[in-house]
Amino acid sequence: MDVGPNLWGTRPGSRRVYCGIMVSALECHLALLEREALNRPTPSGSEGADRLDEVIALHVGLYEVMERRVGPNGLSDAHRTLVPMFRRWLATARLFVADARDLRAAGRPVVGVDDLLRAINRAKPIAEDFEHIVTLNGRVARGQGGSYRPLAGVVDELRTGPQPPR
Amino acid sequence: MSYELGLSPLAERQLAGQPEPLRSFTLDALNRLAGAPASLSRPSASITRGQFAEFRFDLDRGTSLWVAVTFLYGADEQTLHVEHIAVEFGG
Repeated sequence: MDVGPNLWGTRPGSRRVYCGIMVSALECHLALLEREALNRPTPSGSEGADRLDEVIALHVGLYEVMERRVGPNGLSDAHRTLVPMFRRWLATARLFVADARDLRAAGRPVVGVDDLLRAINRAKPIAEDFEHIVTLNGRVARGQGGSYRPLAGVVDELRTGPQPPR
Repeated sequence: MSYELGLSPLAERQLAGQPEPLRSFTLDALNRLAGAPASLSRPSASITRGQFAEFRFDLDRGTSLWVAVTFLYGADEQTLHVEHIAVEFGG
């Protein structure tokens, strides 16, 4: 079936094929938002703020759906294939945060940035610490304890040790 | 009752990697969590039997900073095992 050029102007058979046929709905929506982030003109003015409001709301909504794929029992090795998607989502989210910062500096606050920041934090265990979390979850499932240091002791060491760069 | 806080090796690295003033905000969040973990948290999506709490700090120029803490209740029922710390800044 010839479905014609897809959203990116390439023909089926290339890696990006017609949305809804071979690419999952999540991948499709993520790709659209990635393209929005990469192709946005320099945001300025109220129109830029309004449009970024919408894009951020869509990106946060996309995250909510993506997170549901994890299921009720936390991350496991079965979720490994989701990691690239979460990383892409996170990278795109940070571009939107940067745009929002620029608009705010120009006197145009953007609605929804807090929701985006919250979603970014929720994405980090999956996007940035997947291996560690899966190992942890395996240990928890087996009823095994872990190793923890009292916060007070950690803080004392950090106060006297070298400080990370700002 | 305020819980004791224990950091996993990952959480310790995450805290150590934070420059000031981010670290101070994180410590503030952890101390607040220790005071009322049940009311401040909800089930974590990523950590099995984990709880997730988030804290907002309002900064200058209308920006905000969010600290998210994922933890497990210790078997002694007196300790929170902090497994993951995430901080994101809107400015």
